[in-house]
Amino acid sequence: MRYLRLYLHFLRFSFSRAMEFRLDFFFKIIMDCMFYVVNLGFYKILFLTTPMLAGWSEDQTMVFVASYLLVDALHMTVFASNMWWLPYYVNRGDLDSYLTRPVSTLFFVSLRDFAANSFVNLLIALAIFVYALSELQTPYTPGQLVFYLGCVLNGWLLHYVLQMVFIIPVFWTQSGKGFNDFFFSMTMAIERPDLVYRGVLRWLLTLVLPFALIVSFPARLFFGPTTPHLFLHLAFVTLGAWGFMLWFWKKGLRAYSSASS
Amino acid sequence: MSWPARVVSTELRKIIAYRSDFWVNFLGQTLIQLFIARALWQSIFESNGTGVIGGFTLGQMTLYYLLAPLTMKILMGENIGFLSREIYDGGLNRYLVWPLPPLGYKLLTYLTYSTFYIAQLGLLYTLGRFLLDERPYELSEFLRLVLGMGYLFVAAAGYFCMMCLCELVAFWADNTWTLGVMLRFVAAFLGGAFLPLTFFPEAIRDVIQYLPFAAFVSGPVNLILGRSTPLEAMQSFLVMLVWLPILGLSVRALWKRGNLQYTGVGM
Repeated sequence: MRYLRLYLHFLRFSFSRAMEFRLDFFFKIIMDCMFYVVNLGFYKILFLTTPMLAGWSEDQTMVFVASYLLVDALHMTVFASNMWWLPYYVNRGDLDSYLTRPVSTLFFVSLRDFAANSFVNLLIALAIFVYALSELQTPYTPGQLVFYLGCVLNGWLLHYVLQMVFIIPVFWTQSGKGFNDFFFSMTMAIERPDLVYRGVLRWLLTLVLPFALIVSFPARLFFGPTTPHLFLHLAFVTLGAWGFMLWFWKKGLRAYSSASS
Repeated sequence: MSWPARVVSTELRKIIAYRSDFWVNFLGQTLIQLFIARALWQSIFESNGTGVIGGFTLGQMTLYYLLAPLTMKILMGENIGFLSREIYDGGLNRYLVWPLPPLGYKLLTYLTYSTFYIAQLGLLYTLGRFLLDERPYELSEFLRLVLGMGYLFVAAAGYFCMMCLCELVAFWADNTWTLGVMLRFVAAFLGGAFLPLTFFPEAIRDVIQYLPFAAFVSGPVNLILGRSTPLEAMQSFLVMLVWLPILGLSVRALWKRGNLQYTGVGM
């Protein structure tokens, strides 16, 4: 309850701060819309050359695309700004002030900044998702849809965990840029159906750095046929990733040498 | 040592200062993007049951996706904010009192990064060419690579001008990094970094050929891969050469207007 109250304060501050810089607020909305257009355009053009992609038809792929846009919008709204600043806090020693507060440091540094502009984009991404669902020719029940949305939300949290895993090395490397750029390159793996990956790449993207699980596994569960092992894989890897991130975060905090580390 | 040489040497030292960043970027980022793109296209080639799509074999497509992200890196030179941050926090003051042209200095630092990445591209392409293409290596391929690298240098100057137009908005607006990101999306998509332009519908291609974007990725990459005739390569290069003075003059005009606005104390 205390954390919920604290989060509501974060929301209030974030909205009032966003409204101070109105031009920036609108620029950010346009930027995210452009990201959506480019992604939808990419797959629309791709389907001019092929009728199926990794066993999915165009309408199924569009639901998949809309889902990762939704995950991206959620991430941008809730976590992205915080993730952006975390390496600077560590590098400049600003993390000190968070460590001394009587709340979880991880909670504070992960959720302090709520991106109000991205909240508008979240609504746009949601509209794209609803449209893509209305065009989907694969039959589904409301229960399947709820289960799918639950898995997509799980994917959103997994996205956060993976980004944290790429940020935490800043405690040792001093500069977060290389790992951060690497993370953003890896996010391309979220945007492709997992069945295109084979061999070592598949093993890497579904087990070690499970980017392919964020949206593609939920989409496969949704389009069916539902296979229990797919869900178990998703559940175990998610739990493992959370456990690893928490352990890694604690190791990072221990290596933190305060100002100018 | 002349000032341009000093600037280049200082910037080069900066680039290789963070060694872990450098290697993670150079190997990890490029290779992972390549593997993901190859996996996608391999799946498309298999589901279509054909060896050639849009004039590309799978090997050529792989080489295309090896070069495309490297090309984007060359274009982007320095990070977004290389000018707007200075305007925002008042750091521009030092350039105004230095005995060298501020925009010339910025162009030089930007192109130092680009040149460094051009060398990376040359190295990686040569490696990839031997690994992915079984045909014997000919002298003409080497010449195409050299010409393509020169083409990329000019394209990077064009992209610098476009970036400046976004960055200089910082004289009037608080935060402009979003404009840089938008430019990156548009340049990558319309330049052919996500998909080769041959896959685009003809109507869109007809418009793109008059814009500078095709010279950013598609033009130099197709030249290096030998997918375009010298005449076709020259056409997109000429379009860029026509755009370059237009963009340059726009930057100069915006810079002059912006300087009148600049308070020099940071915002």
